[in-house]
Formats: sequence, structure tokens, C-alpha cells
Amino acid sequence: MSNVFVIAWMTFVEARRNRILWSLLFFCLALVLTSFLFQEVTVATLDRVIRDVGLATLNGFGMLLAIFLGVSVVTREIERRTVYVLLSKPLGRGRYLLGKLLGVWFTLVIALSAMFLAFLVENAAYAGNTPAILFQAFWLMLVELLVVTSFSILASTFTSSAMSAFMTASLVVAGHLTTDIYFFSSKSKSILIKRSGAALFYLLPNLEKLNLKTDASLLRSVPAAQVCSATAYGLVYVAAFFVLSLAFFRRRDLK
Amino acid sequence: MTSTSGDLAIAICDLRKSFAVGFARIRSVTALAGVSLSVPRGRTFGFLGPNGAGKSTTIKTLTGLIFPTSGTVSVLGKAPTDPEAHRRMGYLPENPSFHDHLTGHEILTSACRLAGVAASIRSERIRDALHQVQMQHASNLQVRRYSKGMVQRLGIAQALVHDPELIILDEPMSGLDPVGRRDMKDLIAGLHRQGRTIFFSTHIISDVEELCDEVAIVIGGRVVRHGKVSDLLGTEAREVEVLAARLPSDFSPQAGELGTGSVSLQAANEADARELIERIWSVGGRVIGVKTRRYGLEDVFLEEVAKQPAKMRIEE
Repeated sequence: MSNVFVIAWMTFVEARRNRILWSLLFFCLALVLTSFLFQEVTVATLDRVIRDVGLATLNGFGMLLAIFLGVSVVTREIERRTVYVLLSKPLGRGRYLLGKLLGVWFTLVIALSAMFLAFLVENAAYAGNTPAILFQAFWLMLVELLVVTSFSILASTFTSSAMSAFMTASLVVAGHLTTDIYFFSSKSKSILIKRSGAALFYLLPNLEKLNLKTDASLLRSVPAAQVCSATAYGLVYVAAFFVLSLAFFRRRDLK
Repeated sequence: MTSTSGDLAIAICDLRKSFAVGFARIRSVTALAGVSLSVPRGRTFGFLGPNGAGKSTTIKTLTGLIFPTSGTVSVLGKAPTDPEAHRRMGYLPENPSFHDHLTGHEILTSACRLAGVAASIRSERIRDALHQVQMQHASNLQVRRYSKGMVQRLGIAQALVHDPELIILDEPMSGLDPVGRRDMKDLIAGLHRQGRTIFFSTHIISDVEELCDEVAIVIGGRVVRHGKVSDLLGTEAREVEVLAARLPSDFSPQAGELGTGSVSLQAANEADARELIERIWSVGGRVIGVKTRRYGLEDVFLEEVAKQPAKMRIEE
């Protein structure tokens, strides 16, 4: 298991020293800290503006980073041949992939935690309270990013960087629309569309289950059991994507 | 004397590898068409071949990066994907590449940890490996600041840092300047003296001739010659140049003028050279010098290349 952490550590350090990550982080941090300015162009109260902008920025930044890092960690390593040296060690492809997944997720957790902290400080300063729903929403955001990262790694085990980025972005969009896809396809007269809609609904992760941003924005409390079941739901998809990644990557010739 | 499988560091039998190509993946290209060879422990083995002959594909099969289409491969008595084989093997890929933002020291620390080197001796191993490739001064620099030669040296250091008994080097001289090449040759010779098995691929024939006990020549995905370097070379001179003076002007129309009254004469072999020298003496000439060119590995290699069809890879 220690080999998994070596790969995770290498992935984290490599990402941490990447200037793109820092540029993006500072930009998003600035957006979070200046979110009070958005009150000028909305009718909402200041505390709600801060929550909406802050959580949306966190989510957007996390998604961008999950796609960028998730896609690059495996595909780029194969394209640049850094993977040759690593896999010639007594590591195994499964541990390599698990290390990569954990390394990317750990990078996301650290980067988003820094932003979340800034968001909490600003929220406490303007709203005067720190409700639990903010932490629950942040936790499920991290679970969602783990699902997205595991899918981006799956895509990068069998296709190019550009294609895996496109596939991952499509999953994010479709994952938030699965219920709508199911609803509208069920109204169709075509059996093919109905069945395709149902298949997508059952196959794709319903990322809305992991989305508590609206509840956080409106300060609606959510039972802990719902957060736990949503976490378990996300982890099932992470496991499924990981097993599929392994099935592809184990058989892949690294030319 | 034949080697038993226990004496062999590498045993490859009828290894074949085809890659599916094209959008539909229907066509295939055969990269290896039945490679068989064995490398006894403790030898320095040269794997020689022109570009595209199948050297890197064979090596990647040995390291478990590529899976054979058919045939068997054994590394230190284990399957190439066995972690135990990887623990006892060091590998330098062709044109190695590392994580740009990690330092050389961090790369070597990770290599040690991945290979299971105990924490108590890790620093010592890293220091030794850096010393072997003369990279102590750059160990704390990020890899993106390294020159090509420095990356190559780091690649060698990571292959040696866990003290492997088998070292597989894919084009180890690539990217090195003349000093680096000399250092690399000394390093390989030193590793050989320590009793390690070294398997390295190259298309630089003089390196094999200088360093290896055994050689296999691979062309078009097949091993066309395999044996001890000394057996392949032979002892017979391939060409003899006789330098002579005071010869009559009509002695030989092919004689090359060297100035100061001396000429250069060519003989195809040693017997012809003896005959030529006797003729020079018989006409009152003087032999100044004799230069012989022995049958080299380059001649063996070029002969084998000439025998092969122009199309090195077989499309099915």
C-alpha cells in the first residue's frame, strides 16, 4: 500500500508546483473574496450572494482542476513516457492508478480547502454565522470531484487527452441532467429514445444527488443520513470507474 | 556448456508481438516475429539492431510494459510482470522522461521507496547513485531545468539506486556527450565487474564490441545472429594496407601516392599481403609499414543487414 502513497505524493507535488494550478487558485480566491461586489448587480441579500458566488466558484474551480489534472495524470504520463520508469518498479498498474486517483483528489482537497476557508471567513464576516449545511455541501462537492476524477482517469486509460477531457466535461453536464434526460425521454414516442434515456439515467452518476449548493444557499438543513447515503452513492461510482480503468489499463501496451 | 534456466537472467522463447493499427484496428504490424535468446547471469549482453528492428519492443516486453502476442519471456526466473522481477531489475528507457517539477533527489527517493529500499539505507543509496552518474551538484534542481544529458544520467541513477542484479538499458548512450559516453562505458564495465547482468540495446556497434561478452543482432523482429562477441569477430584480417618505398613506377597502377616517394598498396587478406611484400622486396623496394583491419562486428552487422529484405516490418 505504501507504493500507492508514493505515487499519490509524486502526483500531488507535481501538481503543487505547477504554475497553472496557482494562477487558477489565486484567480478563484480573489473571486471568492470579492463576491460581496456582486450585490451591486443582484436583488439578493449580501450573505446569500456571498454563499452563491463562493460555492459556485469552488465548484467551477474544482471541476476545471479535476478535468485538467485527471486527464493529464495518466494520458500525459503515457505520452511523455514518465510511466515507463514508474511501472518498471515493483508497483503494479492497479496501485499506480489508485495512487494517481488519490494524488489528484488530495490536490483538489488541499486547493479547495484553502478556498473554502477563505469563503468561510468572508461568510462569517458578512453573515455572522457558519451553518453546518456549508460543510455538508463542501463535503459532497469533494465526493463529486472524486467521481469526476475517477471518470477522467478511466477515459484517459483508453483515449487521448483531448478526448478524455471532452468525455469528462460531457459526464459532468449529463450527470447533472440525468433526471431531466429521463423525464423528457420518457415522454418521447420513440422506444429507442425512451430506452436510451432510461439507460443513461441508470448508468450515469446522478451528480445532483451530490449537489447541496441550493440548500446551502437557502440555508436549508439536510439530514446527516442523506449526506452519508449520497457519499456512499458517489463512492460506488468511484469504485466502478476505478475497476473499469484497471480493466482497460491492465491490458494496455505502453508503446 | 549449456546454461540451465536457473543460470539465466533473461530467457526469451519465440517471442512474437503484433500491434493493431489504423482506425478500425483491423490491420496489424508485426514488431517481433519470433525472437529467441538467452542471457546468462553476470554477462554484459548487447542487443544490436537498426532503428525499428524491435529492440525497444523486446525490452518493453522484458519490463512488462508490453504484453507478448505469443511466446514466453522470463526475467530472473519470473514473469516480466512479477513484482519480484521488478524489485531485482533496473530499467533505463530510451530517452527517459521524468516529472518536470520534481527534483532529481525526489525522483531517486521515490524510486527507492517504490523498490522497497529500507529507509535506513535510502540516503546512502541515493548518494551512491548520484555519485556513480556524477550528478551530485544537480540533485536539488527540478528536472525541467536539466539538459538532455543530465536527464539521461538521472535515468541511469534511478535504474541503479535500488542495487538491482539485472540492469536493462535501452540506448544508454543516447543524448550523452563524448565525456558522458566515456563515463557510461566505465560505469557499465564497473557494473560488469561487480557481477551484475547488463542487457543493453544500441545501434552503436563499437560500444557492443568494447563492452559486451555476448551479442544478439536483431533485424526485422528476428534475432539473426547470437553469440559471444569473440566468436563473431574471428581472427582473420579483412583488409591489409602495405606502405612501401623505392618502388619502380610500373610496380602497381593501383598504388596510392603518399608523397616523399612512398606508396600505399591494398591486399584483400593476410596471404595476399605476404605475397605482395615478397614482390616489393624482389624488386628492391622497402616495406615501411603494414596496417591490418580485422573482421569487426560492424562487418557482421552490415552483412546481416544486407541479407535482410528492405522492408523490416511485416504488415499482415
